[in-house]
Amino acid sequence: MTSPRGRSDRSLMGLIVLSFFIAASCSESNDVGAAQIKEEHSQEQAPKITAAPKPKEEAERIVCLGGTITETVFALGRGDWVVGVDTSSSHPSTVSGLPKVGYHRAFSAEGVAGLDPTLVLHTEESGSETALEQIEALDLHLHEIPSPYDEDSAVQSIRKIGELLGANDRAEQLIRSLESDLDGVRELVTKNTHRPTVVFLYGRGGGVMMIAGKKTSAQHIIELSGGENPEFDFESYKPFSSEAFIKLDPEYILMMTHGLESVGGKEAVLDLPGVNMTRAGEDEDHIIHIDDLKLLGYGPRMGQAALELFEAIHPELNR
Amino acid sequence: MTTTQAKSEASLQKKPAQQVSELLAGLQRKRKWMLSLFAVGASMSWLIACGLGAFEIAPERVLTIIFAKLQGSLPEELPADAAVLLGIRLPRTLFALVIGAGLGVAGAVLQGLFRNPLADPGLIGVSSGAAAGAVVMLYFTPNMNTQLAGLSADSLTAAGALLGGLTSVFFVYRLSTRAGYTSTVSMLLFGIAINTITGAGIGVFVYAADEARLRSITLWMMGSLASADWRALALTSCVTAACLFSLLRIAEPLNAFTLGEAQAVHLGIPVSTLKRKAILWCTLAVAVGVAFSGMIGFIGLVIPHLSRLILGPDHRAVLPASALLGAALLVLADTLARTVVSPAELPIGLVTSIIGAPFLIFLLMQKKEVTST
Amino acid sequence: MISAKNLNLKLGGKQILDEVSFTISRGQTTSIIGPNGAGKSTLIRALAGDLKLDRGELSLDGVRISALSLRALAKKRAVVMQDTAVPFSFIAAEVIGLGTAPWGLSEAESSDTLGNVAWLTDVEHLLQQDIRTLSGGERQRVQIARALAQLWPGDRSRQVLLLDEPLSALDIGQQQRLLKLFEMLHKRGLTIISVMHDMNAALQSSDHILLLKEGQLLAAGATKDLNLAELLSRAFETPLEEHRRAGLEAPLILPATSEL
Repeated sequence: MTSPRGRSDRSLMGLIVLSFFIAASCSESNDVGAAQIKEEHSQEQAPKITAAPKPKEEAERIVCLGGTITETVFALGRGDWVVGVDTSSSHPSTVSGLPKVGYHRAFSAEGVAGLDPTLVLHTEESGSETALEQIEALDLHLHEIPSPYDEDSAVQSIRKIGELLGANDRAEQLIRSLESDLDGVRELVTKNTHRPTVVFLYGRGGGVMMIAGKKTSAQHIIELSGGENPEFDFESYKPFSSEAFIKLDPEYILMMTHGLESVGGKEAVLDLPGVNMTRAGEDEDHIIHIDDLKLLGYGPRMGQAALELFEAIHPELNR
Repeated sequence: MTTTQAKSEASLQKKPAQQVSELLAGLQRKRKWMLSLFAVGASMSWLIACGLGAFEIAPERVLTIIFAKLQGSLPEELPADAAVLLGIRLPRTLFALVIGAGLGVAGAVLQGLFRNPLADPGLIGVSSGAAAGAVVMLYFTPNMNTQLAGLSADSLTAAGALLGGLTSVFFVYRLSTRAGYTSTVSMLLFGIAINTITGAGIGVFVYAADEARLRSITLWMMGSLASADWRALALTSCVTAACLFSLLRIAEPLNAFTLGEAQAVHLGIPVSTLKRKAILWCTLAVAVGVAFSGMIGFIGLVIPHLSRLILGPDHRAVLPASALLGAALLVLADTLARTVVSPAELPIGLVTSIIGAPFLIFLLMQKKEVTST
Repeated sequence: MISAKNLNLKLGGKQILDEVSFTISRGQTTSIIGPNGAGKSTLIRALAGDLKLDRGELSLDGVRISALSLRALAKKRAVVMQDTAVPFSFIAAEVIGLGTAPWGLSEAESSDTLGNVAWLTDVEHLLQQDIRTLSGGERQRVQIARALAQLWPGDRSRQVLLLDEPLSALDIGQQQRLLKLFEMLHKRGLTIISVMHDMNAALQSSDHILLLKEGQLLAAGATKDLNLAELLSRAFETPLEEHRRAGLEAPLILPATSEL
């Protein structure tokens, strides 16, 4: 893998990845941000960071490491306080103009520090550990918001973020809205006894396709939306095999939107060996895709995702 | 030739000895100058690197802060730039110097050992073995808060990489050694085999990885100096210092070795010991680098070339030069990595590849002028 | 100086050296000659101490070669093997300088040695050149200079210079010059042993020969004492005859004419 020939192949790949990376990360806001910092520091010789936290009515400068965290902060109306996000933050669309500090599992400590934040929100998956320690040592107010994995943890997450941002009222509003979405779905589900089986497929370009089994976040949202998980005999993810899939014989296939795109769309999925021997392989309508973050982020749009999924698997109820 | 006939055997003229000593002294002088220049260059690069990044700190201020820290005269509440410099940037730039030096020297020694200017530490399997070890760890540590035997996820990855690198080379070495004789040709071949096996192993884990794990693995493999905290720096520095010290000592016998193994034996050089030492210390230097910073390519390949181009092939000059130039290059490459897409960072392996590949092409084109034997 | 008793070596099922015994005195110039596959290169490598013999004793200056450390051996004998490609651009001075490795000389002593051997081998004008740009003959002389540098700080009368086909890559002019160099070294008391392909060059340059055939020593002794035509004809399995030429000490060996 690291033979001289292999190395030049890798550097070519690296060049291609690099150009995408630059295209994706660089933006005008980046330059504005950097220019801002330069200005700040040329005026003052050495700005001090005060140890005491600022009163909540004053604007914070927040860095969000995690898609759900970013989404929640914006949903709480504090979007204009956000000065930097990680690359997995995709909602709302305005975040594409914000400075990116890297992937949340390997972000740049200096990058975060350079944005001069007063609050850094991260999940238990954020890292590296060294970077977190360094941010901590700089007194930049690190707060861990555990990634939500169901309705209760989603509510807790919103509440905690609301508390940190002094937006408790707004948080309760958001929670009520989420719970009403969820109640709506629950009602629809109880009224409707038909529970079609749904299987979540994780797809990635380059021939990677995996089936989500027990104890996955996908499983939970399927149940919530009135779908039924087939009898899995495995936990977590398992590489797709036509035999395994035929055995499960789901009625619907659920995928993340980006994942579906990366494997070549619905036709590609229908072409997978074994899919056409199941009920899910009947036609394209049996392949459902929902935005990645909305579906598995367990954020404020969780209820909407559940509703979307419910409607997709109950086409007979469509007006 | 009449001069041969005319030579009187009784009298030896003083002139030739003088000429030779002047020649040698001249070479020594040139080398000392260039090495001093490289040392200054490396220091300057380091100073510049300390100043650049998300915060820009002027070189004088960098020095002021460092001296204040050493004198213990910094205020309780550090100003932002001092905090960033001391907490993040300083360990990182020093880290880059140390690893760059290790990679440079290891590359130079292995090129001498294999008598091939295109040799690179990856050939003996240390990089891919370390990568395999790290990938296994990255795959099995679901999130950053995992702790096993008191080690954080980062430390586990580093430990896995170190173990993987050393194990790979151990296999390659043992397979290539029969009856006390280590065949360098066998090492190359077994190195290819081990690289293929570890590559396949890595491929399996990459295939089975979900989105998050895949990103972690890919990012690790492209290299990053971000895990540089003072602890990692201390460990890496100690190991690399030991490696550099040991490798510099075999510089002279390595000269004889590159001119032919049989010749080296005839000159009284214990060749098997030489090979063992070279492989051991090179492996350690590279493995510890890869363990903490992922795969950083091209430095071990290009820097020794550059050293030889400027100073000639004598390893007594090439090894220290490779250390200094490797340190300078990596610290500058890291600076680029930190600033080009700020506040995000580029993987350092990418930067060294982008700089290294065209540079290597340039160097190879220089070589075309010299006719091979 | 060198004493070989019942040297035996079998490699890959073939007996390469078969009960080879001979002695070589100090200051003697010896050529090892014989047909291809006779074991000449093997013998010189054994003399260099490279090989582990199955049976037999090989002593250098009264000490068994197997008992000498690598470094001690390096101070007593120097070897010039056939030309190998060098991947790096060492200059001639650096290559010659390698010869002093076993001795640990000071810089002054080192320069002195280098200067002397460079003068002797007439390579002073090549010292700063990249060794890869030199011609075959020049490289050969540089290697010999390196070998001499290896022997220089020691007692010449107790040292040996071993050469494996030193003339093969050279044209006749270069060969003659090299042979004159050997003569000069011989006059200084150095014991020289070389494997030679060219019989006449061997006979011209050496006063003793070792004639090998299929691992066995057919003859060992002073060229003037041996019936060369008969021995060599037997060894090479082709009729050969001696031709005397005025001015040459040794006879020329040429294929026999049909009128014989």
